[in-house]
Amino acid sequence: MRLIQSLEAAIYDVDHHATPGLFIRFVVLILIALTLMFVDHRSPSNTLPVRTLFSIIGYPLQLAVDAPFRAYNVTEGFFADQTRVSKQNAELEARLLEIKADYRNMKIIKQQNERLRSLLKISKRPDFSFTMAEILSASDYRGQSVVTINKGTRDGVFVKQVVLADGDKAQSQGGNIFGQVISVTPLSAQVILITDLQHAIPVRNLRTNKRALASGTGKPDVLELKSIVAESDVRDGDIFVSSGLDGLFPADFQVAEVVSNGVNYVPGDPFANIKARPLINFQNTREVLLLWRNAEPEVAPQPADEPSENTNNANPEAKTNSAQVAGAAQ
Amino acid sequence: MNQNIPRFTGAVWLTMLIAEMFNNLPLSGEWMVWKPDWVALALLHWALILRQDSSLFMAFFMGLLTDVLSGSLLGQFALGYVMVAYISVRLGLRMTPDAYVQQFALVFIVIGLFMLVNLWISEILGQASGGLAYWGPLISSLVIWPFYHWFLSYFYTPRKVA
Repeated sequence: MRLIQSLEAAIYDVDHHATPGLFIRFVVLILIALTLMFVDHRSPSNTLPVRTLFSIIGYPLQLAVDAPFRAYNVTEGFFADQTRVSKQNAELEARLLEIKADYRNMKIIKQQNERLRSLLKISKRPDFSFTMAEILSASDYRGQSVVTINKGTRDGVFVKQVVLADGDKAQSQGGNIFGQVISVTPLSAQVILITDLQHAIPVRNLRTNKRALASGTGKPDVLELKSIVAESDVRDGDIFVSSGLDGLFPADFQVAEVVSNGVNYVPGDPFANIKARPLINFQNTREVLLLWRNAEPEVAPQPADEPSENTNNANPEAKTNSAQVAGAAQ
Repeated sequence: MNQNIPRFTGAVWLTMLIAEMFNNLPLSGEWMVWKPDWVALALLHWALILRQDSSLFMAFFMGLLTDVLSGSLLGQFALGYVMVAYISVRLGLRMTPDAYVQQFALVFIVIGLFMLVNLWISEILGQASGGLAYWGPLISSLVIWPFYHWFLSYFYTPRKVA
């Protein structure tokens, strides 16, 4: 009897539910999480303060993860083979000379272009300036392709800013479209890649000028070209550049190339099914370029054709003057 | 009866930050498939070690941090981690903490539920599903668990309670 009693006592002493308040806390936190998810899904701008706060908290973590890779790059450069470095240096200097010559030529052409444009009363081509940023961390969470870069509002980065990167092929080197900024904190910013499942960018075929929409698939090396009519002429290897029709991405930056056997027609589907490859190797890219549109001298808004036409007609003298002044300043 | 306490102040938080760093390690494509969720495993570890003293608020906080760093829906990982912490405390109290078979069963159930919830949320949002490869981390979690559990054992110390 005594034994049974003590056994019972022992059993009841181990109270599996002896966690006062745990369930209440669990329910409350789950409810908060569900509310946050609901709000974040409906209107992401409302949860921006929380996101900003946590990205500031997480920034040292990202730096710490990045530090070994950075240190490796630095030391590798330091201990690198002397002859290799000097050879590379010579190559780079030769390349720099070439580019200098090209640049001089381009400057002349640019001035000429501006003069012709002002004669034809076409609004000026937008002018850009760039800043380099480094990728701190990349997340590929189930089709969401977002990277964090080490520049933030302190450096003038803003939401919806266009981000470029170097292409992976010799003929497509320079600024190819990488993505756009989706959120900024003082020290870092998050950039959504053009391959993200929820991203799309208006493009045009460099060869035929046909317009299309390049939307991400969630895979780092595949873009889908949408709304191309099945009868239209698209071939393997066609390069698509940004069309600039959305007013966000600047025109004529390279985006994607049609892969071999990438053009397929499904019977009955009015649109062609086209697979393209982004012209950036997202896995190897570590540096990106942030792009700013330089303020234009004209007061008229750039994309709106009708009002700018009117102001041109109303005051052609002032416009040519301002364009000439701008040209002289350069 | 023995009760475990953190080895020093902030030891639990330190392991959480280390786990978060592991979560953010850049891995190449084929390794990415097998990447376990280190924070969820650490929460499981502390649920077994500290039992009812482990904190749900910490799980929630780490969840929000993971959400922001990984770019997922805000609250998605918070929900998952709070679930992991709660269920593993509840189930952990009913088992022998040192029995490895029971531990593996717990890891399988808790991480499996965690991943299932994440999968539901992703499907609702219409994000890409990785097919069968999605469940790769569940297997790697089981494989890595004994080593990780042993590594984290540095951060607590048993104390005799009357």
